[in-house]
Amino acid sequence: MKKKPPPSVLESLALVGQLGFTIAVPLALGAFLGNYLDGITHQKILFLLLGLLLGLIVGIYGAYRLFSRLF
Amino acid sequence: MLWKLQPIQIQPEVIFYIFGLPVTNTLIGTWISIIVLLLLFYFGTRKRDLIPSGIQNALEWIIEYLLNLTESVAGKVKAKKFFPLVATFFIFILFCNLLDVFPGVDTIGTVNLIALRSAHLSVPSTFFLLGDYSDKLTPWVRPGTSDLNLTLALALVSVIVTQIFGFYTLGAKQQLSKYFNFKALRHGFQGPIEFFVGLIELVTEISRILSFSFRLFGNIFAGSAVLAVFAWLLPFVSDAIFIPLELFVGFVQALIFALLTLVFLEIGTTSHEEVGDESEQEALEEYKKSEAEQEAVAAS
Repeated sequence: MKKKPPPSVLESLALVGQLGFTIAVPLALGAFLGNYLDGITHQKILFLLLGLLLGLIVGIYGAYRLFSRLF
Repeated sequence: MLWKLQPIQIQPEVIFYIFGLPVTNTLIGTWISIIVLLLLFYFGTRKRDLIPSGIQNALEWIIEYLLNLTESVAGKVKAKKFFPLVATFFIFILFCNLLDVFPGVDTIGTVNLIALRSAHLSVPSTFFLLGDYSDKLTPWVRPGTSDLNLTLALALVSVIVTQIFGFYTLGAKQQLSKYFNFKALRHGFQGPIEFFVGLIELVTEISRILSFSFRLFGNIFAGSAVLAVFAWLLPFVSDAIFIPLELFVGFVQALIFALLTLVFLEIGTTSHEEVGDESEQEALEEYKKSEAEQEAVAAS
């Protein structure tokens, strides 16, 4: 495969700055949504765990998409 | 005690009202940034010399640097489309952030009369607030990016423009099929997974509004809080360390916001199929080439 030119230092800096948020924000959103659904349906932690799991999947996929462009 | 720590609060204070609309100190900060930028670029580029000097030279250097940066990420053709937005983001956010370290910002204002009354103090007679008065100040100007409203607006612009460019370059059908991949459902076992991946992509788009706005707001707000706290803990000495740090943080945050917008614009206007086809063809060519080389080695 043709190798892309390596990203500049600034671009790498920006991507690394985004990486943490890409993983953390969906996780937090999932947790909040799950907690809200738990409150409505009177479950203990079922939707919280499901929301965390979904958030983790979304976060990891987002991180993969963010960096897959570079390779 | 000679001075007290100023209360650090997230919400901006309302300074006055125009026709019932509240004008906050962060809004005044934003206006100051806008006016400074307008004046700088108007007077800097009014008399355009062929051989630039002075302000014109500096402005041209900034624009050229940003143009090169845009081209290095998005390529020459797309860079022309993306450059105006990305450069505006960078310059505007940079000027908003730099307001943080100017003298007078966060420190000049009116006395908060409600706080005075609750502390049973009379109205001060001097211009300098010392002692018990020093934390009863409502500053007139705060940097615009230390208000979540502005950063949220910028993040919304960034995400919505990415979508618009996506619709414009890929067409409505392809852009929507990125998120609602009904075609993939026919692919048998892998279909539902691919459909689910499309939905995940939609969630990451939405979560980007939050990540963009909170990063910029958090960094600049925390920066001004750090300056306030250290000006109280260790006055005069700490500024020598923390003001350069804040200059650096302001520059880096502006750059990160602009560059990430650019990167996501680039990702958003590249179709999945295009990438797949290209890399597959390249792999095929590579494979043929290596086979031919092996044959040549075997023949010799």
